[in-house]
Amino acid sequence: MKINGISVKQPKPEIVVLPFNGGQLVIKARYVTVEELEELGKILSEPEPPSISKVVDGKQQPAQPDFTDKKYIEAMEAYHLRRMAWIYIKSLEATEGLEWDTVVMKDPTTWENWSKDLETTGLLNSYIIKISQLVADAQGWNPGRIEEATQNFLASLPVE
Amino acid sequence: MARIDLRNTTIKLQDGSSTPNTVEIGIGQGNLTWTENIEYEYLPDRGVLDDVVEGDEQPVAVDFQFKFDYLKSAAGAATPSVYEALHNIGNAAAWVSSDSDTCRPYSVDIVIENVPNCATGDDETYTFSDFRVESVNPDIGGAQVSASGRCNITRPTIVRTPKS
Repeated sequence: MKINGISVKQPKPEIVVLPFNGGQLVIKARYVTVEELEELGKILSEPEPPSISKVVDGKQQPAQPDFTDKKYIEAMEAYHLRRMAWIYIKSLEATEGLEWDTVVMKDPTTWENWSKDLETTGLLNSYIIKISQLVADAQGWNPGRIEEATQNFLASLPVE
Repeated sequence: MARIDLRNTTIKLQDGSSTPNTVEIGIGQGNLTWTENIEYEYLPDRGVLDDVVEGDEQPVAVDFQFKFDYLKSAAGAATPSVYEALHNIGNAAAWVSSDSDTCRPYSVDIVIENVPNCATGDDETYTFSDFRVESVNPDIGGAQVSASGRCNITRPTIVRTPKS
């Protein structure tokens, strides 16, 4: 598909260069595709709520999913944190030569170590935040960039 | 023993699966009691009380009567009734006996979690392992159930956890 002659396909990786210990760290983050997210569903399943059958006026009601269950809510929070961690790791795969210390892709319990691994390298906290932003930008999660591009476009139009 | 407000407790019937199937019973009214029978043999010496030895172990007898406010299943599972869970039928037909010896009759664990409604009291978990129902009296219209039976243990496991 093209829009105004521009092919609309997978976006290019986002890049940031961080000066570090006299050298440069080139960090790249790429867009994580829908297909990859579907693959994630095979190794990390979304928690299901318990079903609850309440008694109202002495009569037992049909069972309904209990989305307010405390353990279910905790499991959903943990699931979303782990899913988000996976997106960050997958996105940063675009960075050449990136090796994690404790993150193992086959082991979901290690995914949330991604930021800890970055910290243990000695990276400045501001750099880690920048890398997080880079991943978010690569996923199109930054509405500010869309707004900026829109404003730049509108500003470039001839004044009538 | 301190009185436990059953409104602060959840009572679960739990099977022996690695990720257990459960039915959680929200108690409106009711009670659970258990009886431990401890046998000693007193051995007199020429008519005078002298030695004491332990007799045979006796199973814990458990008796409960509940009027429940709700029944809740484990995540992703259909909710069985208490009756079904005790008998391994209906929505609990796939439940696995809590007893590790599969040649023995079907049993469930009864797990009582008491979370006192105050900042200081410890949380408590009572586990009555391998309960086999011997008498059950469900009242479907009244959302009530009463049952009694025995556990293949001499006493329940009680764990206290300080509030975090």
